Amino acid sequence: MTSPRTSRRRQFGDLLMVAPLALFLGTMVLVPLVIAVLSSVGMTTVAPGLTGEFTLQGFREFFDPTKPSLAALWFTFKVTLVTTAISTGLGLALALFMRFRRIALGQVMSFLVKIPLFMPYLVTAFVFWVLLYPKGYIGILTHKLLVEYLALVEQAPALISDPLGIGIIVCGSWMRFPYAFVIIHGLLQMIDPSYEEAARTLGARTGRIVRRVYLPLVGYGLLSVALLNFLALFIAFSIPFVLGASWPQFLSVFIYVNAKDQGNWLAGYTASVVYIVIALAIATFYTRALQRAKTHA
Amino acid sequence: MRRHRAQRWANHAVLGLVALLILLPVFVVFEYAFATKWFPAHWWFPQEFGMRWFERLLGLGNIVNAMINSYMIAAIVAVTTLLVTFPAAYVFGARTRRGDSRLIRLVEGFSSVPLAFPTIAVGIGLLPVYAKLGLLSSLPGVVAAHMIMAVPYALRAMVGSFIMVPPEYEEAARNLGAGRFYVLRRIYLPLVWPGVMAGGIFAFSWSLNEFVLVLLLGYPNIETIPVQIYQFVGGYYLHPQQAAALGLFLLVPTLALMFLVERTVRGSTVVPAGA
Repeated sequence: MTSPRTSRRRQFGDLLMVAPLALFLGTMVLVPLVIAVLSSVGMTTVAPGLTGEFTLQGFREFFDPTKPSLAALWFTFKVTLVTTAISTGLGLALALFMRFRRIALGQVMSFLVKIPLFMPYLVTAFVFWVLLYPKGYIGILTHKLLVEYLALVEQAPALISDPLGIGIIVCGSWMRFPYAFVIIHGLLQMIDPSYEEAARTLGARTGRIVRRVYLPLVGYGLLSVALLNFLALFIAFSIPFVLGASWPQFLSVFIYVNAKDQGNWLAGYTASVVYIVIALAIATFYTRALQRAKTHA
Repeated sequence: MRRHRAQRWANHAVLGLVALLILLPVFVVFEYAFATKWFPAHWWFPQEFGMRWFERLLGLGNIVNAMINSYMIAAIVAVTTLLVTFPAAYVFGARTRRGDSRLIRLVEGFSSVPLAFPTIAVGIGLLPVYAKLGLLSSLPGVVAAHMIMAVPYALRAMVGSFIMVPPEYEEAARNLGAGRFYVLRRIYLPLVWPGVMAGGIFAFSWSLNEFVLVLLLGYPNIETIPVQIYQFVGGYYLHPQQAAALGLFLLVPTLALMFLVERTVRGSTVVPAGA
């Protein structure tokens, strides 16, 4: 039993040990966050164009359908959603394939599959730029297939700096599918194989086993993987900066161009606040899905 | 028997395809970095390999500076991140201390927030702070900015290690009269060393690959490898070969360090390397 004085001293000591971290987070995370929020409603004078008086002009302009900001947000959502669907779908398909075929994840495969997770984002963006640009492997093969052999089009579609975000989707899917695979494969390993055997004995086919046995059991895990994949690409900068088009822009690039290049700080701060709110909402959903997945496991 | 063999072939084919899908982009970096002669008519493979791009890069003063900056900043970030996070990780993780104070729980919860933050939003929020403090385009400014994302990863790696230490060790040392710092240094540090290593490596790797914060807060005075790579592919002077050669200075250490972490801390959180 410790005396109240000893306990207070201990608590004070603990606070002192946490103080450098708290001070750092306060200065480097909380202060910029507060500045961004206040600046988005015009209440600071930290940048040109901000008067220090309250205004909702930035938000009005951001949500004005005739302005480019909403198109940037919509484009970011669309591209991120497609990338999440592809990366998570690929990861799930590979994990299920290995489960049904009873293939053990050997040392070499385990090593290989983690490579994209460790690749620096900018280097990966550069590699896909090199692969997808008209003189790159995929660029040339696409041209040969669509223009020369199949003669479907006169000119091959641009795979980078394109308005559909193909380059971002391909690169993002490559980077994130191993994450989905590693997690889902782990979850599937935890499921008792007798469930599948029982279903097969009752005449269920592979598709039905996936739908009725495996997916319900890994559902929350799958959701948390999809949310994390979504969040990782949604807040990314390097990939859309290197592979994206000048229009429509990814939201992170839109903020950079508005604030740094064009000096439109109000638009930059407003977009930042919208961005942070959405990212935090996704992170909250992710945390909840993860908790449910843990309870389910 | 025949069906069994066909299935085995199908298994190998799928795994081979996955391996190809993963390895092709990595192979392309090496191919571009070492290709010195590559005729457009033979687009599928270079005709000659050599070290020309590396020699050219190492002859450029600003590239060498960028390399020195990158590795130096990453090393400083790793050390300062560990200094800031180690004591906090002890308070958050050691089972003799957990659940003590609401304020501490609040700081612990807030320490994960940067992971969900768009780096660009943090960067433009920091711009006026840096302008006021005179930290724009300065080394300490870039180091502090890199620590924002390095701290949560390092903290997670270390807290996990502290949780694993049985509380009886500290209690026994305390009963024998050991003070807080003696306990940390002589009891915990040797036991949580793999976590500390992993934390340091995460911080180093994050900093080495970080791009947007240097572009916003450090450029043009502080240039790093990622900024230079961008100049070769996104700037006015396109040169994929030199970008690939420079990319290897990021890729090789990052992959080596990350696999070292995987071996040191089994089942650790996988860290995305520099968004």
